[in-house]
Amino acid sequence: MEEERKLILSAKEGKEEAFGQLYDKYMPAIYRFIFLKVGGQKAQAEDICHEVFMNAWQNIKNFRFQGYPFSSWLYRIAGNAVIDYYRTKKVNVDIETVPEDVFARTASLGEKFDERLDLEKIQLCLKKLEPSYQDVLIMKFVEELSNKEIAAALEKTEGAVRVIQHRAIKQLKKHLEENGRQNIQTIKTA
Amino acid sequence: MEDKIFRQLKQLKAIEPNPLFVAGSRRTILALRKEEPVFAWLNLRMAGAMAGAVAMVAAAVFMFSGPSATTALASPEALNREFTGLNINVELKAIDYHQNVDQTVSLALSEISDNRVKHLNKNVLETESDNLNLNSSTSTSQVDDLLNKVIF
Repeated sequence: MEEERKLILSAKEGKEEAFGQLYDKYMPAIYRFIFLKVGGQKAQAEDICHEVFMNAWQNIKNFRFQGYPFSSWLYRIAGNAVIDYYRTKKVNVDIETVPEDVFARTASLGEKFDERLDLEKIQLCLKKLEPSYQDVLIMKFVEELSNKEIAAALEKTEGAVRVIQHRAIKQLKKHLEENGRQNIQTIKTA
Repeated sequence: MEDKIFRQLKQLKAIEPNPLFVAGSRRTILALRKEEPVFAWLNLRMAGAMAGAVAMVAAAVFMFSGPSATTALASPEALNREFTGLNINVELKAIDYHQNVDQTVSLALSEISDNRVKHLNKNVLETESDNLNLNSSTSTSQVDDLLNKVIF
């Protein structure tokens, strides 16, 4: 933590090397967060991610240590960038269409066909959730952030985060069950 | 089922950005900031210099704009001296004149409209006018004689 503080202070002074280290540390997580939020659109995720870190680098001098980690600040920038993306581009992402390369990359974790299907299914259902539910589930279960970090990133209380988490899991479970039923019907009609 | 969901969510952590994109983006971002401080520094310096210059000009104007401007606020005597020179008396006379004019005009109007005043009564004036014999041949000497009779 102290090491990170030093890096942030150096970056605030304009030292590129320090910000470069922060970039290396947090870029994959922020990219993943954006990627899942934009429904697996690789090009859009890259553009937004680039914009987020450019914004962070230009504004790091305004960063203040207020008891929450640097990652929360980055997630907040990323969340706002995703909101802007949907607002300005008026994107209508077809949630049933997920690029194949997503699963090509995740294939290394489990070569089994069933596992890949499960991942595809959970990503589709995740996309169907409300934005705040997506945020909490991604931060909590994909990135394994603490409730305090999530609360800081979403500018909510820890209690509110727990409530959102509970509702999000419930809703995700419901979507997964519906998805399972639809698949069974598709197989039967075929 | 929840455990399965958590496990599947954790597996999404395997999503990684393209290394080529990461390298390119990193290079571009860090290069961008390198140029910026020069302009930021210049802007800051220029803004500071401008603010300083404006402050100095304002201070100079305040200090050298004459003693009346700076001392008038401080002493009542100076204020009195300043007011002596003003043409406030002229304005008071003008106010007095306007008040009198109003009173005179209103008096005249009331007299004109009032028929009870004899010398302005229209009927009286007309009667007197009828009684006048402008074609009378009475000479000046006759008038004098009559007056002498009346007086003595």
